[in-house]
Amino acid sequence: MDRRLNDIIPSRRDALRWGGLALASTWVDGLVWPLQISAQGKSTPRGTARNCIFIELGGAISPMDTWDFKETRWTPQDLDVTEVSKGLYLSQTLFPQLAKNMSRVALVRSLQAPELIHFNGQYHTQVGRSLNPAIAREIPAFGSVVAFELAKQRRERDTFPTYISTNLTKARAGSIGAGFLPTWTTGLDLDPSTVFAAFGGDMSGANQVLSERWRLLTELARINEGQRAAMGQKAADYQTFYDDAYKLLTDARWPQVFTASADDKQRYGDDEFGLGCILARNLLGQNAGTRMIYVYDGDRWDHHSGIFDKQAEWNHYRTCQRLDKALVSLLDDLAAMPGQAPGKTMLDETLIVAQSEFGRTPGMNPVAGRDHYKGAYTGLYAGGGVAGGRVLGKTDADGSTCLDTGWRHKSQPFMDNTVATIYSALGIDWKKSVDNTPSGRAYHYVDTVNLGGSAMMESDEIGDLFA
Amino acid sequence: MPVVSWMRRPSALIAVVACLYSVTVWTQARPAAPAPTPHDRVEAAHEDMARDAVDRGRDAARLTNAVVPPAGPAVPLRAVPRRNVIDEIVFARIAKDRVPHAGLSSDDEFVRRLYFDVIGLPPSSAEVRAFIADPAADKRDRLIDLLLARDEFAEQWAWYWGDLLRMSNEAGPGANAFHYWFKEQLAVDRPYDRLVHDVLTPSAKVHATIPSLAIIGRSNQLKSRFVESVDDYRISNRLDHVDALTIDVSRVFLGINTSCISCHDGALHLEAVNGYLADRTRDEFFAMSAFFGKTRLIGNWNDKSRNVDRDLHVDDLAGGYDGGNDAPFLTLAESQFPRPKGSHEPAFILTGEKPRAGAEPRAELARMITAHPQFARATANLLWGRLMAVAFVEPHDAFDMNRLSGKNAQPTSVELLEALAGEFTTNGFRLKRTIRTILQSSTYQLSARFPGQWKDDYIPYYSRHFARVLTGPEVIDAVSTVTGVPMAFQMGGQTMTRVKQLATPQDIGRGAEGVTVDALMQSFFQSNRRTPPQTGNRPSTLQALLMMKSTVVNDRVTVAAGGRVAELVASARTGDEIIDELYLSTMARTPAPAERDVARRTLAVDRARGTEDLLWALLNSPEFLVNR
Repeated sequence: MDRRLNDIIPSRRDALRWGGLALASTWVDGLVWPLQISAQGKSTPRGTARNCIFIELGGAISPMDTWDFKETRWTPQDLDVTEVSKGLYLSQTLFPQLAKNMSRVALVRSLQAPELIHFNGQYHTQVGRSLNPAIAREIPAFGSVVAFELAKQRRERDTFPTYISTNLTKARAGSIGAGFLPTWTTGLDLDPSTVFAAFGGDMSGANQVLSERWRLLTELARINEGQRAAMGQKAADYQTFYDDAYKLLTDARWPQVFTASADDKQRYGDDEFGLGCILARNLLGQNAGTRMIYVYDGDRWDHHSGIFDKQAEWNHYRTCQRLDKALVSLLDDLAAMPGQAPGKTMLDETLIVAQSEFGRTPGMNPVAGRDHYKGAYTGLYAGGGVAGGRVLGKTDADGSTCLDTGWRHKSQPFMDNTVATIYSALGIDWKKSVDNTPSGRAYHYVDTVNLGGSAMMESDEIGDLFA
Repeated sequence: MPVVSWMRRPSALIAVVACLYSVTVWTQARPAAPAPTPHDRVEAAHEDMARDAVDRGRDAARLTNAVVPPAGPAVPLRAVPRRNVIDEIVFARIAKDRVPHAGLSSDDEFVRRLYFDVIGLPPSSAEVRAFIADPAADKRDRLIDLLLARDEFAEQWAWYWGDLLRMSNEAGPGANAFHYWFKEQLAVDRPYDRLVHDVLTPSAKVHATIPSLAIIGRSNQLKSRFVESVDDYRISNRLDHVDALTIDVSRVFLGINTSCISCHDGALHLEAVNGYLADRTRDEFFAMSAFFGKTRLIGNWNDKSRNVDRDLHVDDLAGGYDGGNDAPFLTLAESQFPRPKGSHEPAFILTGEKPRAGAEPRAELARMITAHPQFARATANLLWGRLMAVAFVEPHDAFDMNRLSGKNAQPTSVELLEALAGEFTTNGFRLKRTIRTILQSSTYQLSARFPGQWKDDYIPYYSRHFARVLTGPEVIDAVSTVTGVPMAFQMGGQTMTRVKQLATPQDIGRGAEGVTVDALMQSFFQSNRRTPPQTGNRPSTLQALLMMKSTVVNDRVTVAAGGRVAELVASARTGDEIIDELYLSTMARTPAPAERDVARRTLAVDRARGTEDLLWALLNSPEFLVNR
């Protein structure tokens, strides 16, 4: 079944006029109809990356204790803060490996958020725009948009979903689906704590039995196609999902994704986040169609109390050191893997972003923690054409106010602009919009009006990140 | 639309949203808080609202959008018998607007659907045969009564109410007691208004001693794993607790989610969401919550665990609902949206009625709720939605009181909702009776097979039955029933063989099957009840992955499992008889000739392997996973 979508698709009426046919449910399903795209060609995507790994630092990492370091009277003595490059201070205790690798990453310190609530913020992060409950049901995750856009580049041999996430069911906002986009753009979410056992190991014996049974199932399914269609779309949809699932289960590359050596676990960490990064690396390494990976790190950053309290189970030392090893291991491993283009590494072709939903308060609260803050926060970028060592944006002495927005606009960038940057890097025209959404309200790939905010937003990419 | 929050304290949260694919595991003894929960009501309220907005209606229109060649001339409406008021209203509307409609379901469609809807289990092959062969004209009615009288009816519907009321293991021992209590109420069809009264009014030194008190005593609203001492501000804000209670009560019993106005006025927030609530103020919410103003909820501080025990003392000796009180125990909700100082007297939000002098406020609240027509409407909506897959108002707590009728009416059928609510009220608020009325109607009994081109515009007409994907517990119980290899969950020293015999999803337990059962149930959108239930009724790749790979299925279809397959293979039955048995017990029908040919060939190669493979294939068929 041809799953390639292009912009030239017969109107729905035409499709139905072919009448009676059980049209390939992959592209005529449910709410989907040919999308009317407009406003194309107004942006110039730079196309420097093939893949993207977005790491959501759930819970909101504290910028002033990490990548936009501010020394205050609460700063513990053991942070061993050094100036790793001009104006860039980093704690060696918290980031022992990253401190040596800051020349490979870029920072944007001037991000702002419209939300202060985790759910809304994490929704915004996953979707690239503020939550609008009235139309939320049709809004896709940005990963689904990527899957949609990159669909035409899928090769015959690609069996892995384009968009895969890890650990997202544990996220505050859960795993946002495809909205009005076709169902097949929905991300496949993997729970790192179970998938290695479930899908790894030697599958050959099991797959022998599976393939016999699959043959039987398919034969029966073929006979029953009409029956299924009569029951409604849900029953018909199952066939698609079963086909996809079977292709995955029998692809020899799939179990390879779910292998992690002892060395891997040692370097990345043997927890939901470390394993999630290993999965990301393996997925890209298998080169089987996955190009957009959303790693949810497990929401450990919400330090409302005891941020540096070593007695607390998840204090800042622990969360930073965990991030440190997984992130640098990922950078190292991707840099050692070849890319598609000659002379390029996988890291050259993969844009990595590590970002939270908002920031944390500049002052400490009465229980030695920081609360939510939207005025300024920091995101980290690497690979995929990003100029390492670049630091965009500047905040004041305590991190509460942005002094320099870091790009060519007067207003600070939002997560929406991070998404624009991701789209641009992947060669996606981010100024497109889809006009015939179910609600009738045009879906701009990047919003121009910030819901709940006061002003028009710049729907621009953060171009200064790139070389 | 907003859904009420339950959560105020960190505890394990697993959010299942959207078209999910994930192999997830949630077990009782996870490392502390694998993912933080909304640690106060602000978070939770917005999370609920947003999650619902994300889910709501996502697939309502995808229900039935098939392209089906016309099977023949459409069944004329006059040929479909009008059994009761439901049919009068539904068919009149269909005829008036000339909406195409399905015919009545066939017996095999009906028997399987009824079993799943009423008792959450598939009919056995013997039961299917008996029903199909029965010549009696009233056999459908008799089957309805038979199933409503079974124990499994109470299990199926108590599980559903457990999802609604979010009875997770966070309720401690109260969860089990509540579950059994609720099943008893359902079994005897005790009037639902009495249940509401029993839920709202009791007091106890230890809440778990009164089963119905589990709602009020749900200690997840107090317990915190990060509590340092009894003076820790995160233990409790009494008013936050009663506010959360008020939200729960309004949500489930009135179908109105007041979580938004618990923190701020509706104005400038809810205009696009709910017109009625947009006009409501936070003061009105406080007045509603003030019915619990005198209610004390005292957690027992446990020095050893350095935490608040799950047991609560519940009485009515507090001073009243006063925003100036109950500091300095602050929660983030309180600190972000502090209550203005000053006390509030109870007043019922829908009418402004105050409790009568000398009467107990909580009893008065129960009286006012159950006396209001919205109570019957909200309940009728729940029942209808459960049986028809599309409720009058979705989700169940999204009622906009300004849009109950008129040009911009919210319910899919204003007239039918009112009629059903009226029937529920007249019959004394008996759930089973109203369920029976729905089941007996031809509207419920219409086929899911729709002749011709379906349009989503037809949905409010209910001119066909909407097929729905089985729920998580239904899938597990169906697989274990059909394969004859029962589950073995340990609960309270007893072995339970069905998921729906358990009190909470967490009772699945940590045994080997617990993990895999969890994963499979979650893929079918079983919520963990700590977060708002997700919209199920959706297929996904993960379901396919798990149904094909999970040991829950694969280990049960083998001869070695010693279940149905072993029995059939070892018996003297012919290949055809085996094939019939498998089809009847999974699909409630015999195979079509083309199917029989394929099945015969499979069994001819190897009887044992063929039977295993055939059952596996049947369990992995959409027809099995979808309740039509």
